[in-house]
Amino acid sequence: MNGHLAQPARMLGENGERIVASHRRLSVRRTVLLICLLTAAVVLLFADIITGPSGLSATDVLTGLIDPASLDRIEAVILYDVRLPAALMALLVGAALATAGVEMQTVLDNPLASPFTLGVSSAAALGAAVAIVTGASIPFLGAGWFVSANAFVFSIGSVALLQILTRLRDGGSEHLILFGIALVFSFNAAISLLQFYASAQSVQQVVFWMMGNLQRADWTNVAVLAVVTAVVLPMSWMASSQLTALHLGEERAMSFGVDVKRLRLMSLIRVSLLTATAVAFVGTIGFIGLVGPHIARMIIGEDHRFLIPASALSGGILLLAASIAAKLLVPDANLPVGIVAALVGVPVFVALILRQGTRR
Amino acid sequence: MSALSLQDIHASYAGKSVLDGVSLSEIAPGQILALTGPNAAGKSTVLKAIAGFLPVRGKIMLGTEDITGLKPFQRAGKISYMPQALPRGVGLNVFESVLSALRIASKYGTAVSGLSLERQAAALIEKLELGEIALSHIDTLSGGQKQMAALAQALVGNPSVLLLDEPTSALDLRHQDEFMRVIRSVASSGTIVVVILHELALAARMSDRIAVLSKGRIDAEGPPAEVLSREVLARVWGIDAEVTFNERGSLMIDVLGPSRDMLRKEIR
Ligand SMILES: Nc1ncnc2c1ncn2[C@@H]1O[C@H](COP(=O)(O)OP(=O)(O)OP(=O)(O)O)[C@@H](O)[C@H]1O
Ligand SMILES: [Mg+2]
Repeated sequence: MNGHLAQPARMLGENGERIVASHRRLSVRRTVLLICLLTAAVVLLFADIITGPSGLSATDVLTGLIDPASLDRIEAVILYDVRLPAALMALLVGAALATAGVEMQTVLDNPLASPFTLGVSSAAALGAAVAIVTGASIPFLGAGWFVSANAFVFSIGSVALLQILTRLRDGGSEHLILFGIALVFSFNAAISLLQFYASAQSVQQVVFWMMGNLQRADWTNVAVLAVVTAVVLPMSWMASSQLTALHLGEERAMSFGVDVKRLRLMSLIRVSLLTATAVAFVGTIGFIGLVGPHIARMIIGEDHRFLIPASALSGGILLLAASIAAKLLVPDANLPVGIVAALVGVPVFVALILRQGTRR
Repeated sequence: MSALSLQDIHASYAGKSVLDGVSLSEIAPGQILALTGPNAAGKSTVLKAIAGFLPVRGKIMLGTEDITGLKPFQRAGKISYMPQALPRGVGLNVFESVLSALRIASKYGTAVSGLSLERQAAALIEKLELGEIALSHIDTLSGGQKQMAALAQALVGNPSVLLLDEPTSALDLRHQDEFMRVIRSVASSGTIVVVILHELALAARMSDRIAVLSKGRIDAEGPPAEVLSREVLARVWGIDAEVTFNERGSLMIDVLGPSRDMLRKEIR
């Protein structure tokens, strides 16, 4: 319709060519960085598998992975039923939480947001606590499954509640955060109330559940989380252009043609699926969802086409590192990785804030 | 070519009426309309209404199409809006920001086909002569440069209507002039521009028409030389000022003090 702006010259000037060329170099660099992150994740995955109290050497593990017959029965159980699922769980949970975190930060336009900001994890904890305290179980499923299933149902329910509440008001990100905080406090109060009336034994179980532990991983829940992650991560990635546009400002994004309300809703659904599944299986693991995205951002920038995969990988790397650290720091203790993740996460996070203090 | 017009627009925030029957006669493609008026008159609200950010009563027409009921994202490609406040902590460079806008535009079929998105973005950057800052992070730019970056994003997808909310407020005299020249060249390619300006001299020089908004109503509208008078300044802004046009036709405003009405109010 318009004249000169509508038909950009077929030939770019020298400046334009220079810009396009250097942008392509930047994209190549980012791709290389992603490959480096992927390599680091694979290396750490292997490192996590070979770390542990029983003396399986790296070569034992390697040959065992290639040829399971080379292991004796106990070694096979340790490798295939303990180490491998726990390591894969660390990678998957880290990736899921950090992806959920980056979406949350963009959608809420708040660098301090995390997948837990809106109460998803508190709801999961409440669901788990209810299951543990009442001792109920779903027929055909084991008691362990009931805890996970209940945690999942509660977190999804809390997201639905949040949606209804924000629909009542005009659904801006501030309302979302405020209602989310209100939910966090209510759920935490409900958990305390349950613990107040519960037996000492169930209180201990609830507390242990909330700490976040990879040792609960088995092949079934690894498979479930793997499927959820494999479905949801590509969907997040497909929304990356819209998320980048949203990052330029809500009104901006709408003016570009993004249906921001829908984007926000879909994003929250993705976040809650990832978070609820991860938390249901391993309990609350804080900081990964907050710190993972920030590390990715510092490495790769704000373009979500790169930021989302980089966040997933950073999250996986962080949780694998925490898992390895937990095993190395206190061998034999089976230290919950949630504690170590927070201990590792806090200094990293503080350092990030100190470094970034001038930027925002 | 389709013109933009507003017919009796009413809007309110939380029950408080902000626009009380705003009408603007057809703004033709290529025209620049400067919207001016005192703080809180409702200028930003008019632009937001055109962009579709708030529900309004009345009729907004673009050519023969009634766009009043369209959602903002459904107006993409037709109407582009550049907000008053620029975002902070963007973490993208200028080129990337334009490119990410183009990615959206291309999905909705409002971008130009036949060229790669990267080359389209680069062409736009060249057109606006932003080569120097194209690869700088937006957060590291000066206020004026940020404004230019925001303009580049707003021009993606070749909007028929460009809405600019106080784009020159943060700019020095030279950059104000340069910015408005760029806007003039954008308009001359057939874009309708509605721009909020507080600098009346700049508005008079750079616009084809001025609309003065006062308390949610259009107080005066027309060619700058007709609209900007001593009476309007007293009535709308409450200042007493001598308004003259010098031999080159430039508007000169010599503010003498508050208007007599204002003085009377203060004494009371
Ligand atoms: N989100 C909002 N909620 C409630 N009231 C609002 C909101 N935005 C604007 N208003 C009110 O609407 C009126 C018009 O605001 P608007 O921003 O359109 O003014 P403006 O002419 O752009 O002023 P300025 O020159 O200061 O930018 C003001 O009285 C303001 O208080
Ligand atoms: Mg305003």
